[in-house]
Amino acid sequence: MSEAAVEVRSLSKKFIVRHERRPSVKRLFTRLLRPFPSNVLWALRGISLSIEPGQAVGLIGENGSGKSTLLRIVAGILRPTEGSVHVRGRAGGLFELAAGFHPELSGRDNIWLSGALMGYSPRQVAERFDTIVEFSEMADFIDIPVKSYSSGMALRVGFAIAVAFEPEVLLVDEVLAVADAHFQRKAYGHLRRLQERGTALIIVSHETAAIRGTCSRALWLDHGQLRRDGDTNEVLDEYLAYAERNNHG
Amino acid sequence: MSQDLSPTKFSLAWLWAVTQLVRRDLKVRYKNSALGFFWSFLNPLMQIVILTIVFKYIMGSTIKNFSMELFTCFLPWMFFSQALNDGAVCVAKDFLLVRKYAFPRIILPIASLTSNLVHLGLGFLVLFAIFLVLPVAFNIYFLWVLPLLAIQCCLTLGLMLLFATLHMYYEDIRFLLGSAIQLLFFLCPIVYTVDQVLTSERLSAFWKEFYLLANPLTPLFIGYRTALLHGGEWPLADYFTYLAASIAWALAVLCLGLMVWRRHQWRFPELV
Repeated sequence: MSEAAVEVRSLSKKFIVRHERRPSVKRLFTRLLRPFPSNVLWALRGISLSIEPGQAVGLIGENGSGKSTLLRIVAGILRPTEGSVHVRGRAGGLFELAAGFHPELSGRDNIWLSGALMGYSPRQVAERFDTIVEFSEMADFIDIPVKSYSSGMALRVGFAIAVAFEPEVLLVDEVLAVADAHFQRKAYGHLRRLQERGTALIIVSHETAAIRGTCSRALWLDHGQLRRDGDTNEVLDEYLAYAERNNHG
Repeated sequence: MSQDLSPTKFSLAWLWAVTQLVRRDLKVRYKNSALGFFWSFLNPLMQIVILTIVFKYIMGSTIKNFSMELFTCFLPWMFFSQALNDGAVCVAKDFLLVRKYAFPRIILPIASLTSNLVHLGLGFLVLFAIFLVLPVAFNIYFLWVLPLLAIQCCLTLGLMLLFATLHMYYEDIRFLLGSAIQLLFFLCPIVYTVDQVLTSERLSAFWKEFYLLANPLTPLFIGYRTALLHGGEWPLADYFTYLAASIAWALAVLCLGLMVWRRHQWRFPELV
């Protein structure tokens, strides 16, 4: 068998999109029979790729091109419609900022809850708790409710949790943008160290500089299809040129 | 189609995650209220007082010891109705968690059921405190509450799974459920006793039989009352036949709930 950290084979993902429409009595009945005036959306189509341990991959593409869907499938949150995904080890990551933190609970409680929901034991969370607080530099705020955190503060804690358990495959979805310069540098530095230790990284970002700095390989998703897969600089240049062309009509 | 090593199988390790969710629910529920946890005691007490005034003093119910008869059934009823209400929205409420982590989704309704079980436990503490004051002698028949509660938990969890899944497709279910629960309250022997049903002259034998067999909660409530107040003197000769029917209902509903849940749980993060 392959040694790949992530092995994706002809993966497709279909979503059924529900439309917002004005409710009416007639619609009530049609809805009971057919809950979705269904529009099928193929978020991903025929994606195949494999990522080695210790490889950092940047995932680029326009909004709605399927980047987050791909990450969520690798993370096991969504199921493929067709095809298969194999992850060697654990896949973990950071999606949608602080989403998932409970606003009324303190940072401390949220760290415990997140750890538990990621499937770690009390001992595993306890062992890493101090590292998480220290890495996020949030020691002074750890006992106040998350609702009073700024988005950058919540991100710090979320990122610290995501990296603390050192999953074999780490997924980072477009979140570091809200961090301050200091934490961004620290975070990317940490990602590189993890990568050197054999973690496979998939990073979604619109900040091309960050991708160039961290990833040796880039994937360009276009309308759910893998348009280019190759050297970061080549793929990015092509992608940016394409975006430029689009802007000028 | 496969997904290696993602933590989707339910194992004992996930019980810890359940306790964390329960802890969160309990912490958040009374977060900004001055009386906090006391509401768990106060709410059922106030309801008991209201129902006693209405049914005993205004409508002149002839049931002896009305408030105690009511109390013993009202606690498990509150547990049932509250768990079902919470359960129907448990996925919707924690939608952000569902979109962020790959945990087995069933821990959400299990946590919801468990935190309501904690409230039930507090309610029973109040009941036992009243027993000490009255006094009612504690006896071995009290233990009947445990198997009855186990049956009720199976039934409730099954319904929670069904309604939580339905709620992801039709949000109407929450409103429908509110009315259905209110109706069910009067279809269960809570503010009246099963004797009153069985001695009623307006109900035919068929409907009496139907009353006992079709509603799995009925034998359970008869059981709670008998175990806690009447020292195991079952009011019906063939009580255990009806209890068996109740168990069959509970298991059937739980199996159906699990089947539906299995089919739909991985679609939850896709439904907005």
